[in-house]
Amino acid sequence: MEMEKTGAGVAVLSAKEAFEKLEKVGEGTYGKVYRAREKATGKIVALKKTRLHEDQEGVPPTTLREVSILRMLSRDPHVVRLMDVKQGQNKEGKTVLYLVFEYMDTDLKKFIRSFRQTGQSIPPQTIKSLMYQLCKGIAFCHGHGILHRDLKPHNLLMDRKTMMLKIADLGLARAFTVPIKKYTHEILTLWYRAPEVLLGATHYSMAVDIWSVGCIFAELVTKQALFAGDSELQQLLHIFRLLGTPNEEVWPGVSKLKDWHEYPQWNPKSLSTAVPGLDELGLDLLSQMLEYEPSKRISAKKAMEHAYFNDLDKGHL
Amino acid sequence: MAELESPNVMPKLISFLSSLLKRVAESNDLNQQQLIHQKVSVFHGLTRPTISIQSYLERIFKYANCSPSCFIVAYVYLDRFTQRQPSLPINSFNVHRLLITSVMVAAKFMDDLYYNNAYYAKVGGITTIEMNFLEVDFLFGLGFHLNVTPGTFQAYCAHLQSEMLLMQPLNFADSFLSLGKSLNKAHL
Repeated sequence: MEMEKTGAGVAVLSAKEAFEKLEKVGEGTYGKVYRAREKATGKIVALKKTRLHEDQEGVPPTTLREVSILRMLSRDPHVVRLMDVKQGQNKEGKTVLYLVFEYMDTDLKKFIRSFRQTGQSIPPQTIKSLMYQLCKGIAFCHGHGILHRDLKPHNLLMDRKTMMLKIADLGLARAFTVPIKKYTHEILTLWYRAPEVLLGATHYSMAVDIWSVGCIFAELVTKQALFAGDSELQQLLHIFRLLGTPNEEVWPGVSKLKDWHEYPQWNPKSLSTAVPGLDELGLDLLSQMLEYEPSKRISAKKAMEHAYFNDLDKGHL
Repeated sequence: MAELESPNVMPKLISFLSSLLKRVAESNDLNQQQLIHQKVSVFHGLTRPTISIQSYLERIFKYANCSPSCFIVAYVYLDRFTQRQPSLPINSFNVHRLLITSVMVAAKFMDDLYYNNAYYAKVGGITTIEMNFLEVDFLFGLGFHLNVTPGTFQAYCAHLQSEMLLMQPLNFADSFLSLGKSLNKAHL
């Protein structure tokens, strides 16, 4: 990955001169994302413009983490490639950072929506391939000591032609390997949030990502979110209704978590009632991804070895 | 250095880091040969700050309220920065700005709860605008190489711990700010 400037302040070609913006394809907290053409090569890229005009804050921590983490992880085929970081100025003369990514033409959210709109099911082998790629990408992140913490269909980019899946948006990701102050509670879109996070755990692990992967797995099969809560409490209740209300027996230590209360008591239902289109091996893998006790939840590496993937041609993945 | 959280460890570490950085800065000040090739960067003050490195680092420690690990990580960043920017060695004119910037960036990267640039600028006695410039230059100077693996973290801790136990002048050829190459090969 190139870096456009050194600590000595060497100026080079600005982002404005280097790229031609073609269209706006998205907008985040800190700026816009454009499809753009690199003038020198004609290559199509995604240009993520980060405003630094929030003078009090400086470089947003999401940008700082995303660039740093992608600098390590971008060599994996299932993690979006950060090609360059450029510094520029906007019309008011304020500093702007441009993150230059490889361009992907869709994401898993749009992909699922397209099947929902046509009333078709996503072919089981397609689901299997996408899930394997997701597990492979997450295993790579976890192997490098990185938690994603915001896995959801919208953050999984895809190439429609090749059906290649890539993990993106590592703005909430963090290294989990060095002792730090308590982690924030305010991570991850509610629907994909692990129960330990919802219950206020302040030290959590790779298992939070695996829970999200499980939720995405079910959504690929049913084309609907597995647990679609609109508040933290509702989210927990959705989970409890399907998997049963946890207790000390199934999840030692659960009642000691900061936000644990007395909840309505539900017995666990069979996962096949919620994900009817999934075969037995798929249900077995899903159940291991949705284990209540984080330490019992399957790892991404182990998930890749699950029998569910046995009949998948992994050569090109 | 799992005992970072214990109350008497951090003051010792701050004191030791200060004396180490002071010696590095003074050594580079004296190295006239190096001065010829030095670039003046945004970190370079027009005059030497009157506040000592130790008082400055103690002030940062008092007000930053970041994880104790951030000070080790900030030290790793300074090491990486000097390796990547050999024409910008740590000296008495830039050490304070490099310190406040490295701790702020470490806190931002490591902690989910941290103070913003304006706060660090106040702590460091500079303007917010300058703090923002320093941050961007520091990040590009590091090539955004912010992640610290457990192996690297432990290696730096172990080295600092052994030096603190000895509490004797370091041989600069072996000092931590030039140890990075071997550590990088082993852990990064």
